[in-house]
Amino acid sequence: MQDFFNNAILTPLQNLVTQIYAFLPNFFAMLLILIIGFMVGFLGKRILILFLKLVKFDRLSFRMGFNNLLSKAGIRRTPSEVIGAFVYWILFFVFLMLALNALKVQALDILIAQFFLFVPKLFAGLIILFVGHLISVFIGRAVLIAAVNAEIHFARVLARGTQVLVLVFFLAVALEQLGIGRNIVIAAFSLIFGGIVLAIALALGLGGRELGREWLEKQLGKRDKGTEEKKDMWSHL
Amino acid sequence: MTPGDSTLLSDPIQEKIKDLGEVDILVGIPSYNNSRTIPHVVRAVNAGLAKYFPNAKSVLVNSDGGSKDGTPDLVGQTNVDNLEMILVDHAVYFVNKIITPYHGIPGKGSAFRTIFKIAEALNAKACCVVDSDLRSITPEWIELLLDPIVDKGFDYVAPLYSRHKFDGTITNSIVYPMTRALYGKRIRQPIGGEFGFSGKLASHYLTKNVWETDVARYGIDIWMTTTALGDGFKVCQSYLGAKIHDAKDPGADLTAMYTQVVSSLYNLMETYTRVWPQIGNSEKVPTFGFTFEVGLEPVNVNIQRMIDSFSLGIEALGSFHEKVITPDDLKQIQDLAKKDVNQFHFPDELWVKVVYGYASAYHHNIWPREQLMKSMIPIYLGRTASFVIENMDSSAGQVEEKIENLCQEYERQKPSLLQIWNNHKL
Repeated sequence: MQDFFNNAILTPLQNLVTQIYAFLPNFFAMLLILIIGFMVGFLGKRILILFLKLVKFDRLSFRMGFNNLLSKAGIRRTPSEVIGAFVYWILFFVFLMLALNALKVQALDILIAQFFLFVPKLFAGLIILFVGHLISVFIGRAVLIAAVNAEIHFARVLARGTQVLVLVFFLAVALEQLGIGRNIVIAAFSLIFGGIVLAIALALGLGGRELGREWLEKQLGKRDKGTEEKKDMWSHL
Repeated sequence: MTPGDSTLLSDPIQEKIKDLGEVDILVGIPSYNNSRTIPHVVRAVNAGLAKYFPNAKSVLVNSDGGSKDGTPDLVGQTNVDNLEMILVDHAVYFVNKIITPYHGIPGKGSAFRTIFKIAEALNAKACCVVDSDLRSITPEWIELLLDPIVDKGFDYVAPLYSRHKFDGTITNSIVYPMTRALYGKRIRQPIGGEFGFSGKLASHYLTKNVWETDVARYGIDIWMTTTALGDGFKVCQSYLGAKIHDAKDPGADLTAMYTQVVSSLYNLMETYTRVWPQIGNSEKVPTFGFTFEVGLEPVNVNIQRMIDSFSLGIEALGSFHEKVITPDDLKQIQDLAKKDVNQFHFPDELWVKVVYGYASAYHHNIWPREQLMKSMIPIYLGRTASFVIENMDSSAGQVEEKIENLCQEYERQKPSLLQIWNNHKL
């Protein structure tokens, strides 16, 4: 009975307690790393927000259309705060991974190793998307203003189309970076761009011959009725 | 010395300058493919110098932008054939010529920079510049631009022309009233194109590092006038008569011309922040020359097209305008965009608020500056259409009265400009 008690209950219990004792330092290490992670994340966020405010990042973001994107996404915070929060969570997540690593659980170790291999790609993808958005907004606006001043009545459609196209391009690059659906992305992108170029070529060939002629004549320095009319509008300058 | 100074003048030109030594008078002609008109301009300059400054050592400088039609050759070959016709005494007269390509950003400003550089190197006492596409220039223009410098101690002479009531709308609706309100001097044609200036002022211009900006292009005229005003040089104006020039290059991007001139005006507000906020009222500047009535070339204006452009711009560029113009004012403009020609009226007060709002938005970098300036063009076209409609039957005098009222509105609203300049809140 005594042997049974020892073998069946006491020894497993003792083993459990030993394992718990062995695990406890790792657990406390994990907690400590998490607390440090929280503090580093918090401090990093505050310092970054302060820095971004000093360099007037919010104003720049407004000019680049980032605020517009945030408000469309229902986010009421300033761009500095959003980036601060993003950096906070990234730092916290990194420390969470380190904390889990401190537990020295084999299954988790593999997961964490994979995560750290993926992180640079994720970062690169996010940065590409962010920069792509800024560039697309800038180009979209430039097209809008140029189209309005060229008296093109579908200026807004043209500008929005250009913006979407540029964004799609950067999205494709970002997905390529992440290694997601590489072949599908390349194929889809080639189809869309090829289609647009073909459409423009057809439109110009069938419906825009006059426009093409006017443009060529302007480039070659020949005057025509169109340029005379244009001059009329501006000759009072 | 500003960047690029050492490469401005080629070795042969520097040799020629060394040979010439010093000169009393320098006349600069910037050019680019002006073979049709430049012989007339050169003849008028030669005759003007011979008739009015016969005892002065003079030089004519042609600063060319790489003409392909032989413009520089024509400058070299052209002389006044019959000086006896216009001179009583000095039938033999010789003007030195320096013909050089200019370097830097292609544009009028870069051409002027080379002229300033040569003026400084030759220690010229009095200088003037005249456009190479002029058809109405006479020898008297040279006297009128140079005499206030030579004899009366002025540093800067702005031109004063008779212009068609619908000509020069950017001058009439923005540049003249705003320069007057900001710097307190009533220079009627701040971007006229022909100017007289002292050698001292030419050297002063060269000390400014602006030659990579819009000043190198169409911004040069407003920059020269404002720099003379802002840095306290003695300014005056001379009445030259009618300005008739060759038709503009139809390929030229006139949107760029508008944005460069107005951007330069706004940029200069930043340069002279220590000057313009201190100035309350404006005053007349000494005016020389004999004013007379002249026949003017008609100016064609397509009102409906300007209104259509205005309406399209207001509808499509709302996101730009709402950060520059107050909601109430923007509402007024949006309502205006729905009206037809018969009811179309853009009030002075509203227009001045728009111009000042844009100045502040430019200063505070609300949008990328080039985009900001281009977003103003449809509103400018609306204002111009309104001006043309209202003055269709007005005489030149009545139009001038309207411009005077607009100037007073600019001056009246100057305190509010200061307010939004310091804090752009809508």
